[in-house]
Amino acid sequence: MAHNISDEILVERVKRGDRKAFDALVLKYQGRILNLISRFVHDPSDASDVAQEAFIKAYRALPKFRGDSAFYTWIYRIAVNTAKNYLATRARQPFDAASDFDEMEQIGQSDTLKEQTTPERLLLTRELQETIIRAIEGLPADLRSAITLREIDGMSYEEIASVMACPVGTVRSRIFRAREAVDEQLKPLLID
Amino acid sequence: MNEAKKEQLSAFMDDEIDGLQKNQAEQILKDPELLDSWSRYHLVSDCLKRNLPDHLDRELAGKISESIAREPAIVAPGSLSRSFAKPAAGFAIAASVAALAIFGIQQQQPGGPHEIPQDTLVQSVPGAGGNGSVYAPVRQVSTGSGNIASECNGKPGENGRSAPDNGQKAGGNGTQEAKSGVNCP
Repeated sequence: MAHNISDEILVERVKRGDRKAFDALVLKYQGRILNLISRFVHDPSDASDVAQEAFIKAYRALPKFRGDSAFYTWIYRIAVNTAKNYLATRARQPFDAASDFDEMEQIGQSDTLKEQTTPERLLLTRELQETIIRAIEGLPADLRSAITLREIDGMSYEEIASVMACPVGTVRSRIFRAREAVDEQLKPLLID
Repeated sequence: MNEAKKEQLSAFMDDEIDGLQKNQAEQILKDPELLDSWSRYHLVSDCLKRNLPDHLDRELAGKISESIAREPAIVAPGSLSRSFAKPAAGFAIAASVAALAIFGIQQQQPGGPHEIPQDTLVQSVPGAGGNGSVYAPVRQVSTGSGNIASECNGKPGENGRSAPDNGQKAGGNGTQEAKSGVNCP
């Protein structure tokens, strides 16, 4: 089984003008990219803005992406450099109390910018993690083993089938059912 | 919701699809409900691999999608640039080989290259003297502003303040960070 075949398919679709395919890539990698950028940019709101910029840069540069490296490797570099550039730009800006005060007043009058600092849009990962762990611990043993071997140990379906002494189709079904069971617990947390 | 489609989505996420399922799998991402499942499946995956920051922005993907919708559509320029770039790169390699061959012959001549005027050497190998002219057509074919490429290579970007490439390698699919057990941080 080829590695990152889903990424290759999605990237090809984006290159053919399918923006939805890029949405799928963003949904896949947003957590990892935000986590990466948060190591450089500690303010969650700023980190989110930098992540957004990194993804948009990646979209614009995608026609030049030849697939010599994995898509994640490529966007990882873009994210790191975007974060470093953000920090370098911030470091060069001298603090001007008067102009910053004016800017803050303007931000206060703008709904769009105000929204960026509201904590409601920030989901606490800890709450999410507790829910997911509880859901996984509550799974039947065969589903729990299948999802754990896949997600944590990174095994292929074939390897899991060998370990669990069952057909690959059963592994596929168990992993899916485990995901669905966790998803049922997760959904209420993500609904506004 | 069609369970079979969701199971296919789950397998697609794990790169566990065969050729026949490939087209079906990519098509199901057009279904908004399945795209939501795709998002949550990856959220769970990232959580188990300890790949999430302390705070998640619930609106990040939506904001990116809105921004992308305002961008000009991409229509397969990659294949176009490749078709031009390959012959150009081939020409560059051929020119380099020719340069080396000529230089080698000159060195084997009695008296060595020191007896040959420098301007003769330069004229005998047009475009291969390191001035980059052979590679210019390849660059010109590339689409976009070029800023991203510079950033990806760690060279100065749009404002000349880009950070250099620190040589860090990406974490692949991130599984190497995962520890055994189900516990998240």
